[in-house]
Amino acid sequence: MAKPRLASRRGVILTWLLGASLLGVFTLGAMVRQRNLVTRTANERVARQRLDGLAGPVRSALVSSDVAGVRSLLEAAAKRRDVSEAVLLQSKTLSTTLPFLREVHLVAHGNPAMGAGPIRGDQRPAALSPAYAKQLYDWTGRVLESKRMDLRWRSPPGAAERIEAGRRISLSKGEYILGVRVKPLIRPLAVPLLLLVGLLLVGLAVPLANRAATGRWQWLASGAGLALMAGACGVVLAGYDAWVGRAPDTASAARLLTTGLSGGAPGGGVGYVWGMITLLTLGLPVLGWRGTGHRVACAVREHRIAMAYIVPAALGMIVLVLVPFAVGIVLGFFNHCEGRFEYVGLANFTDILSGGGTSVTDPLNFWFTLGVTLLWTSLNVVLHVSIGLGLALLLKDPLLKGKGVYRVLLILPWAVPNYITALMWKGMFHQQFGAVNQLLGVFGFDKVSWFSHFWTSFTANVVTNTWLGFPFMMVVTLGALQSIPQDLYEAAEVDGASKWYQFSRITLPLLRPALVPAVILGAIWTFNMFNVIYLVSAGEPAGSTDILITEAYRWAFIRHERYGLAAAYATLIFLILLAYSLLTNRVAKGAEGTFE
Amino acid sequence: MIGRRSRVRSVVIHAVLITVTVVTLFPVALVVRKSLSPGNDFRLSLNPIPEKATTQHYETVLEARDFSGRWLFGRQLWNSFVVALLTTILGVFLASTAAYAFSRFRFPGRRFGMMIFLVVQMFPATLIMIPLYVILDKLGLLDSVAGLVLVYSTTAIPFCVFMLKGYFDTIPRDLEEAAWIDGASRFGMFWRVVLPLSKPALAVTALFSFMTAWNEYILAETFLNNEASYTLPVMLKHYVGDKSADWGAFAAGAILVSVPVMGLFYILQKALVSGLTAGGVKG
Repeated sequence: MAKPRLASRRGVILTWLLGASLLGVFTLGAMVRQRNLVTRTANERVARQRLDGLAGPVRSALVSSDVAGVRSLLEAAAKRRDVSEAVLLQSKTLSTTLPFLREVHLVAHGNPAMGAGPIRGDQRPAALSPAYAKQLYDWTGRVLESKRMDLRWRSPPGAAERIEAGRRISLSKGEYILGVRVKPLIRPLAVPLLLLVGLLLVGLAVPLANRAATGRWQWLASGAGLALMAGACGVVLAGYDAWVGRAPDTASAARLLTTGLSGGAPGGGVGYVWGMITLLTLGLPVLGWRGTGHRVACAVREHRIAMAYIVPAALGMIVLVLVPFAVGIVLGFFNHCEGRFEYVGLANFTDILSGGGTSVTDPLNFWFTLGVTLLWTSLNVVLHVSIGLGLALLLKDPLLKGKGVYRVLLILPWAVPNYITALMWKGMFHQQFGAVNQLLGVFGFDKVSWFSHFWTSFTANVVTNTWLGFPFMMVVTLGALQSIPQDLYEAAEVDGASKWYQFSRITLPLLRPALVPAVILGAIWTFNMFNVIYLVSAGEPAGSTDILITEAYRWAFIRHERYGLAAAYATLIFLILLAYSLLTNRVAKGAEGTFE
Repeated sequence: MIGRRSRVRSVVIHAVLITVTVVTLFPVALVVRKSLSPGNDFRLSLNPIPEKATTQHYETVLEARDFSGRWLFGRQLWNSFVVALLTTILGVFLASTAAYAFSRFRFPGRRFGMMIFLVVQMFPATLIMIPLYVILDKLGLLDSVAGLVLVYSTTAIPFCVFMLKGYFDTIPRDLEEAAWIDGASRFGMFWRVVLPLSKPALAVTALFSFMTAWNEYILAETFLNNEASYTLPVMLKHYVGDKSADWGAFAAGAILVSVPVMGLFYILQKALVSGLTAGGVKG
């Protein structure tokens, strides 16, 4: 026994090392990426702020032909420590085509050393110095290409990290581009957050391992270990704050930690985090005293091989699913407005469940959407099962030739990625050019505007989803049909049973064990069939064909970023699905039980 | 008499099946036709062979560049590939050990753990999309391959666990016991006996995770907002936007993007059916 155990420990360590290095590499990549991105967006924001502050005064100075005023404004702007350059360019005909860029003149520059001559009276603005010209051409070129009034853009890849931003100012005399070039900022990263979580986990792992290895009174050591780790976290935070304190426009580490949800006001949240750490630190020895820690440790020790195998995936699931899930539930109690989250208690849920002041026939009403969703799900499942079953029964015929060919061709819709299917059918339901309307035209019907009425729009969705979904049911049924012994039918034939009798008494009952799970799964798929609804009808008309999941999406990403309300929606959807699966689990068990 | 009845019967069956097949294949034929014929609208023609064949749409898709001259199709293909590959590696790696534990060990929390995996597998990632979005936003991982891989792993890991557990259950324990007697360690049994025996299942699982990640649209659409970081499905959707629609380019792109994975699907679909239904029943 001794030898395998030793070897197994090595195996466990190997697994751990592999998993840890994989996660480590991944985290490292993510962190580097995140660092760049945070820096860049922060710089863009600063550039935008400086521009916004500058545009108004510069414009009014230009209107009153106060060129000296423009110049002093730009000089003042360029003196800020986060701005390296502020320029005003003029162009008589601002166009998106490049040749016109040659006519761009530098009107004023924040840095007097760059020596751009300001306009005086009818005098032409100074031409650009050749050394500087190319750079400004490129710079303004990107302004013009993006064709928007408010512009911002990034430096080309490989260039020094330097954020440039421009803004177009239109005057009766012509058009100007106001540009601000921002120095890269040192931005705080959320790295300490990751570090902190990592330390906490280590802090937990150390005492637990400790417990697992040796006997009683180790809980003191556990507590001490955790306290040590909490202290280390504190040092990290303090060190981080000291580092960040030198950078302009940054938040403290503690604030970063707590702004995750509160979205702004530091203070309240810090207490929570430290309170939790303290509680953990104090709580563990208490647990140890009560023997809970000991029992957990014993269980872990006893099953440590199993644990070692399960931990990588379990950690993955905790980080990727359970944490977002918990955050989602918490988010449901917050309201999101312009980047800030504010605690509103149950308001989102009551808002949704009461319909938020809308009547039940209003497309935005939860109960209306729920009704549409249920209708959508049941109709689709019925169609999928009946078409799938029908085709499977036809294909089952032993004398039928070319079965394989039909089968291969008929599962094609399942093979096509469903977003392509959805877009394809969206095109086919196009009012003017769509294939469906053209086909109707062949039979002498008028063109239907599919997405302007509820029922036609709903039909379009259902048709698409039926096309996409029946092959799965057909394949499942075919598989199950093959496992029904042929002699049952022969016996029934001998007894003189009719075809219908055979179908309802032999085929259907024997199909049930395979069909029930397929139907349960199919219903969940359809209930959540985001792509079809979102891409085919897009909820048209007026959001009435939206199902719950697309409605939640709309609240989050289309209607004013109401993350809180959308999260509450998602929680409700989860509860519905959970109730459904608990219910069907019983049904499935019942179906299994009948034939065991 | 019987011969004649069965002939009539088979003619009827063939007629029904041919009709259904034609209806089924019609939209696909339209897309193929569109990809080869000039013009941008999605017109109907009952003739599936294009009157005037052109490869212009394929060229449009393959040669798309953004305004700073970056080769979009290449980048998007690379993005799709890297995201799908990393998701697969992460999923299969994390899942294989977990599936082995679920299959071979009895430990407290086993049932609960499996239930969690099952529930997560059934519920779509779209449900936790909002918190994921908020979290990734705070971490600065929006618009990145890493962020998308993390999101896709939420569905890939439980799926892989179930597929692999189902397969590990079918491998007789005698083999491991024999290895044990020959002096293999626990890990050795897993690494040298079980994993090599499950190569086909590992391959199928990996290919399925790859395919799922490759075909995913809405999460990518939500989490990516820079043309050069799009994956292929997002690129395709943007060919047929609300304001301007280039159905020709869409059709050509759809064929380029989906034909390889459709081929894969045909090879794998039997394994998928058994995996899905088995996972559903056994829990």
